[in-house]
Amino acid sequence: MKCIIIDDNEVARAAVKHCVEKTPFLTLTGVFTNPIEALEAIKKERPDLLLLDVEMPEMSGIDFIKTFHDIPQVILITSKKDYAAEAFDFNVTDYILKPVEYPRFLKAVTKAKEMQESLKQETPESNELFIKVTNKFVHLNLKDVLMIEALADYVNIYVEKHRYTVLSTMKAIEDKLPKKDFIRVHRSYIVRIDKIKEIDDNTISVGDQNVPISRNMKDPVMSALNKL
Amino acid sequence: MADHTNLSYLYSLADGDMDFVTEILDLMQKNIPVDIADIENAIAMNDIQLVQRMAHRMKSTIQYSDYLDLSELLSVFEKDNSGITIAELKTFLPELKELAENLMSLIEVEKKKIGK
Repeated sequence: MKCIIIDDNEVARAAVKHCVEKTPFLTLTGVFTNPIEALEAIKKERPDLLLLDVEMPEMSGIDFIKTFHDIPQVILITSKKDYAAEAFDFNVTDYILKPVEYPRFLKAVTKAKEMQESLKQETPESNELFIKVTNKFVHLNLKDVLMIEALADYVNIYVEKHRYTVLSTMKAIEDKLPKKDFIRVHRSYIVRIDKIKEIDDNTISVGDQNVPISRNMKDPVMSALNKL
Repeated sequence: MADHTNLSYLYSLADGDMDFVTEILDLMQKNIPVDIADIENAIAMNDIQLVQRMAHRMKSTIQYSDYLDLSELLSVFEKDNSGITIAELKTFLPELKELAENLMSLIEVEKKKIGK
């Protein structure tokens, strides 16, 4: 597992680095003093795991993870218990208190490794999906999909010149889509990232449709784009 | 190390790696004076939030010393919404500096003990 350490304190960085080096399945690809510095490395190296301090002057670890769409796994390392509840709202893998002790560290990173292995089995890599339309299964190339729209117990799947209505929840179809290609922009909309034409304030243009972006998805959507 | 502190967390983490123990002791010696100076400056600037941040950073610096007197005093400096004023914190500064110097001496003793 490739990991990155982000902590503004030199002693803390050295201690976590020592733990990483003791752990055979971890490879350290970067050590950073603040999240802003780490951003480029995260995009370039695509680490599997962030070992992230919570309280840093430039940006807190929790604010940092809020900005991501497709974030690696995160283990928060902090001297305060106060953030635990909020942290788990953002699906962090674990939460370790300072001073870090190796058995606790090992437990947390082992959990991350197990999650990575189970995600590998679950995350669809395929660009194909068969959908049931009336009495037939229809082959869908996910590269052609523009967006998906919730419609009570159904979803509308929009491709270039067609719309399929399929019995499914948004969650069920979202689980079938490659996370690197699709993003949930609103409770009722998932869009294919490379089909986005324009983003204007709180609206995304995909094909000839405009869909809303919910306020809490704005940052993850913007961070998913390759911007200039 | 003397009565107020023990390095059991550090030695436990090091697991026999004395170079790591030395690395952490060196980093503490390097960073403690910087942290103290930054707290002092933040107080001089009358910036309570900066004082809190600097005190928090110093707590991380000394985390493996288990030096409770210093750690508890830093908690006073670090505490958010405690209602404590800069003027009150200023009165604790001499004690903070004395404890920090004491810890620096204890680290030096420890380094000699392990032959570094």
